[in-house]
Amino acid sequence: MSHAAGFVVFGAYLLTMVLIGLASGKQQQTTADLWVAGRRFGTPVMVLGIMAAIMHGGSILSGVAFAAAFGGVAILPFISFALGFLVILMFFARKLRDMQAFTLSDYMGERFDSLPLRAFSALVVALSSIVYLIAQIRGMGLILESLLGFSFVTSMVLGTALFVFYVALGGMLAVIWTNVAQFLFMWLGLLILMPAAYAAAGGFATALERAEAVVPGWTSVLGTRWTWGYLLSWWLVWFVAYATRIELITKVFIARDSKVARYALPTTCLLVMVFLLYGNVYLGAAARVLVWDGLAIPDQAFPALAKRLLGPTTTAIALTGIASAAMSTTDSLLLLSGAAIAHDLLRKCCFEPRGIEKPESYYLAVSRAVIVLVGVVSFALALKTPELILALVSYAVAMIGATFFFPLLLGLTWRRTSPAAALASSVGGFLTTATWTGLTLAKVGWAGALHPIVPGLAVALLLILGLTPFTRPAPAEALARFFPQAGAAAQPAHAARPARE
Amino acid sequence: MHIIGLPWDSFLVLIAIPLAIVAHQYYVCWQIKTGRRE
Repeated sequence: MSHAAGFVVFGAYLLTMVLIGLASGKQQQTTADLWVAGRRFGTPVMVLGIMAAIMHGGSILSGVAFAAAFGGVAILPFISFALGFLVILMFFARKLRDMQAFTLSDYMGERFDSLPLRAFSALVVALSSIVYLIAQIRGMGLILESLLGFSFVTSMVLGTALFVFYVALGGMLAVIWTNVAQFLFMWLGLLILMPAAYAAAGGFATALERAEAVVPGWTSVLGTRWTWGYLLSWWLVWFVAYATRIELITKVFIARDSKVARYALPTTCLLVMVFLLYGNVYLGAAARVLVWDGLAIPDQAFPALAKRLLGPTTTAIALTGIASAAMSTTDSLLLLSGAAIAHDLLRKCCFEPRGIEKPESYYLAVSRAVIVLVGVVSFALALKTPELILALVSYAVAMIGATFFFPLLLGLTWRRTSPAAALASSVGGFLTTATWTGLTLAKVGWAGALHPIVPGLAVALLLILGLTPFTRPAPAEALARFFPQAGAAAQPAHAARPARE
Repeated sequence: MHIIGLPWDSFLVLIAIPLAIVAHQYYVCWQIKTGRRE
């Protein structure tokens, strides 16, 4: 591929991101601007921003490879996605938005009036975001290496420097507007393949029939190799993962109001499904039929397909689309991990409990420094990533799910859910999932029979249900923010804590 | 029976049931908009 085309297309992309970062940077006065951009966004921007944040580079690169290998229907748990979005819509979004939080750890700390729970959940968010960030930086490096012809390390430096720059400067405002631009780049990158893919592989039905003819079972529910047990645990993982997906769920904090936070969800869910139906099922079938037999590794399926079907300029556009999908997730993760460390761990767990008063400008500077530091550390780890981190990436969503699912679901719907039970559920769910993951990676036979999220969720549920009746509920003041009518009976409404901003 | 290249059960799992759930999401939003749901 001619790298000149790559330079032109990626140059335009880079310039767009830098300009958005500079423009957003001018509007940052407080940490509220940095973390939630003044909660100003309406439904259309929310839809584009959320969609870009949850679709990452691997959604296409690994998705096409995964679909080509295992079957287009089996790998896409759309039922789980839709149910996960429904749970957020019906149970989480309104109360989370109305509490005026910055982070998920804010919810954990304030709903249960618990500093340990805030600190533990911030640690889980920070560490899992960094693990995920490392994988995304590596993926972005591979794409830019192919697009620009730089070395892998130089490509990672370029990609990381770009998103660290605009996130540290412009915070959530830069993230959301770059996500909107990245949304357009990623759709353009995929759609540019469509005419050539149609000419080579046929329409949707034809491509699927051809894949089925090459690999019997490709269009079946179980795909080419899966069992019902594996498929059902796959659905469970993704249901919990989407209901607790931090890049998704924390976006409710930036909506103009709690209605907007919810209105954005169905359209986002629909767009994700259309994107993957085309980007994974159709392109996976096309890759299986057209290029699969000549591949050294499955992850080359999408680049090989693009190379076969497109010219240099259009390939550059397609690869820039994938790079922007990767970057739209890395910037959200960087902001999340930065907020977990700067806002939750430093400000809420260290400074404020000790009565240390600092001006808002100090916290803004610290937050930006933390964002840069997290970016540098993630980059350093991406340079020579320990095998364990790469292996953990695919289990990170399970660990987050087991940590947050029941404290969110029960904490927002059942007033009695106690702080001690929520802490036990979070810690127990996380540790069980982590331990089971370790056993699975160590290839212990019986552990491999169940996905780590299954025992993790079981322990989390048992602990929260079993301990709540025997432990003290959260203070009425904390509950009044989430259960106003019940709280009103316990104390006057004006006694509820004021909004943070 | 095949629908857009998919066996009927795959069509249900990949298209019909997820779309029905999304339709329910829109219904919930409509309830919120019209004040039928908080």
